[in-house]
Parts: sequence; C-alpha cells; structure tokens
Amino acid sequence: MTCITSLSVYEMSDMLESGKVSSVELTKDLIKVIEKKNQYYRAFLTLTFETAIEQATAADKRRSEGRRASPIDGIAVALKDAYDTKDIRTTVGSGLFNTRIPKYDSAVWEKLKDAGAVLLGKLECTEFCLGGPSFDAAYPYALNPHDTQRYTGGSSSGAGVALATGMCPAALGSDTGGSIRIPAAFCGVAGIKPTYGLVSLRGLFPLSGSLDHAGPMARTSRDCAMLLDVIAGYDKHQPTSSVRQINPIAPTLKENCKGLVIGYVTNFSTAEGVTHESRQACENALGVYSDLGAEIRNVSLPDLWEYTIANTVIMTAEAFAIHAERFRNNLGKISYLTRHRIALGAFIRAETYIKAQKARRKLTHITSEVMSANGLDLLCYPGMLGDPAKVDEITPYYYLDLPLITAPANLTGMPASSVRAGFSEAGMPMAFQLTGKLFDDGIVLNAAHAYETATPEYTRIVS
Amino acid sequence: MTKAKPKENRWRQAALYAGIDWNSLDGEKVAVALDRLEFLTEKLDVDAISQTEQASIFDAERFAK
Repeated sequence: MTCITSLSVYEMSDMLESGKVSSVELTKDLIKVIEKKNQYYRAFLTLTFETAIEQATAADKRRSEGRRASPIDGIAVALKDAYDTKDIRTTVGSGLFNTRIPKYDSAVWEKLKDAGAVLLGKLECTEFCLGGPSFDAAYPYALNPHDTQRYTGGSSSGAGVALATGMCPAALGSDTGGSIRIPAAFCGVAGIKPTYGLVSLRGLFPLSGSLDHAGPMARTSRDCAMLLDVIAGYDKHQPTSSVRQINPIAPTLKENCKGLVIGYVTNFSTAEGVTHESRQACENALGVYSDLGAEIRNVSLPDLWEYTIANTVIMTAEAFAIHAERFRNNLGKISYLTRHRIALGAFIRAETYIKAQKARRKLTHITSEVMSANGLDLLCYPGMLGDPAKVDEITPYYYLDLPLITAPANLTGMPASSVRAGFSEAGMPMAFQLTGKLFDDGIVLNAAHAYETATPEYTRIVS
Repeated sequence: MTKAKPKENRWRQAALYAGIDWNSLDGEKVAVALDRLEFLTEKLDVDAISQTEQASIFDAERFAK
C-alpha cells in the first residue's frame, strides 16, 4: 500500500479536496518522516513544525468552510535556505549568516503562503549557493539517498534529498548554473528552471543576479506545474521580474505529445564527458516521445563549452561583486570550496565580463534561431554528463574540466526541466533535459508530464 | 622559503590589488584555475558582434513613467 506521504502534490490535493485526509494529518505524518530520516540524510537545516501545524489547521478550517485558497492549500512545502522567511533563520548555507533572521518574506514564500502552503522548514543549500560539498562547511551537506558516497548535486541539495526520501512533497530551489536541475537529476526527482523573469527573485539571496532563477522541485512535473502556477507573476518591486507572464499550466496538462516537434541536440549529447548511459537514456526518452506522437529532428547548437564558459565568467564575476566585502574581511570563515570558487571573480576583468555578456547574447540568438528555423517546440539533451561523482573526489575547480550541460538554459533564460529517465548500472538516477522557447514553460512541463505518465516505473522514493 | 611560481606570482599581485588575502587560498590551485579560465575565455567567439553594439543591460522602458 502506498504511504500517504509518498503521494504527489496532485494526489494529496485531491485527497484534501475530497476530505479523505486533513492537512493536519498530512503534516503530522510528514513530520514523523522527517524526524525519522533527517538525522541521517540532513536535508533540513531548520524545522518549523509549530508553524506548520498552525498553517495546516488554518488550511483545514478554510476547506471546511468551502474556501480553499488554491490547489496547494494545505500542502506541505519546504524552501531552500536561500529564500528569506520573516522571523525564520535564513543562512544561505553559511556560518556567517548563522543568526540571520530576515524581516521580510521572499516573494516566492509570500505567494506560497497566500495560496495556503504549509512550511515544514528550510532546506540545506551549499554555502552562498555555490560551494558544495565542502567538508568544512558550517552545516553538513545533505546525503544522496541513492548512494550516500556520491554527491547530491547542488546547490538545492536539501530539496533533492527531501523529495527523494519522502520528507516533503514539494520544494523550492534556485538555479544559476543548474542548481535545480542537477540535484533533481542526481536524486531522481523533477525540477524546472522557469523562464528568466517569470518568478520574482525578491528575497532570494543572490548568487548572480543576471543568471539566478527561482523555481519548483517536486516528485513529478505535474506537481512542478502546480507550484509554478502559484509562484509565477510580475513583481513591480523586483527589477528582473518580467511584465510578460503566462497562463496557468497545471489545468491544461495532457498525456500525449501529438503535433510536438522536439529537436535532439546531437552535439550536446556527444559533448566531452557525456557517458554512453546518459546519452542512451536521452535517446530512449526520445523513443517514448515518438510513441507519444511527437516528431523528432536532429539539430546542432554551438559548442557546449561556449555556453559553459560564458555562464561561468558571468556567474563568478557577479558572485564576487555580491560577496566582495565578506571575502575581504572574513575569507577564513568561508568554507574551502566556496572560498576558492567565488574568489576567482576577483580576478575577472571588466572586459572579460563584457565579452561573456556579448557571447551570451550571441548564443541566445543562435539558440532561438535554430529552434525557429527547424520548427522546434523543444530541445532535448542529456540531463547530466553521467553519474554523480564521489563526494571525496570533488575538487574546487572540477567544473572547469568538463562542460556544464545545464548552463545553456541559464545563459539563454529559456525554461528547462530535468526529467527522471531510469537508473544507471551503478543504480543512480538518470535524467534528460527539455528546454523550450522563452515563456513556453507550459510546453516544457506538458512534455515532461506526458513522459512521466508513460514511464511510471522510474519513480522511486528511498526508504 | 618556497619561491612562488611565476604565474602564481602574477595572480598573487592581482589578489593584492583586489584586496583578497592570497594566503587564505590554495594559491597553486587558484593560479591553475585562473589560467584555465583565461584560456577558455579566449575561445569565446564574439568577433561577429559589432564593436558598436552596446553591452548594457539597462532597460530604460522599465523606468519610464
């Protein structure tokens, strides 16, 4: 029998709506799971159980009065510890912020709270959203439940682990170079980096303002759609927020892909470092899409290294600009990996940063042109190069040795989902990515949902 | 006393200019990474982009009342 805490947000919402379960019951069951598992997997940094029960009680009252605020009213969520939460400690994974208590809520938590979400706690993230997995970090890194010796991926690592172990059904991550999609892929769950500007960044501690994206993670792409429907929206107080917005996605999801044209990015699939298994998982997924009615066309984009290096230069320079004073005054208090990665930004010249921004515009233009010229709705390529590395083998600059297959969507601002695609020979989750045109987040999530519905055997919660 | 390698010395000077304590970093690793970053950045092809193209991200429309 399926445990109620391992259900999807969609299923939980249905049970709440029909009165088969109350939000308080659901929340208490999830608290029991967290109390049992978190001491081992370390997904949560801060627990807010008292608040959660209060919010669940209020959600049950609204439901009994026939005024549920939204489809996620009464659903428990957890936030990456980079999202400000009023009166609740928000550390951004750093010992320097050990006692940081925000005075305001982040825009994302404001919206979730208004929609009736219940906050279970704050999730582990690598220091300043970049540094994992550092052995000397102020807070221990979360463990990948599929193999605790291997990395979870970062920086929304706690979110990936909490979802994969059934500690929460929904989470919010953030993604600057892949920080939603990498832990989603390595932990075997779903995540979408939405179109740049679709979700307000207000109150999300920045890593790199022009590349940061706020987005949902869950165990299914349908659940991600339900969350994105709540958190998307123009924010006049946030300069990167887009006036252009999209219609709700979740109510329109279908289980076929008739008429959809998907471009298989062959040069990404054969890029340096991509394993045969990872490529095969992606090609198997394309076979499923063909069966679901989609047309597949092979396409080629600029070298993956071009996207990677432009993304790395911009991210590192902007990150140092944010943390410069901390780096000048407290360098020794910043964990080893974070210290070494962000410090590179101090050496990047303005001309190099501008060059990277120019490359960014060129690459965005070419990517859009390739999609238009080939009549494509989506791009498809491997989710990750291969299995996650062993934690003790990760060096400060491993990301300069191989291209970053999640970088193109950050650089271009295009929406991109990580979709689970079975397991490798080593027993690790595999994934592929779907990338859509700007503001076509609905097409991305629809295709991800259709694939997941056709391949239920790939869903697995680790006990 | 260990003598710094020439390339490392170049980055050490840059760190001094940027106000970063080089001794709190693993200097050799940082120097190798910076050399690599510099090499990779040179590969970025922006020649086709006009010299007169502005790189600004400032969006006047947002501020028009």
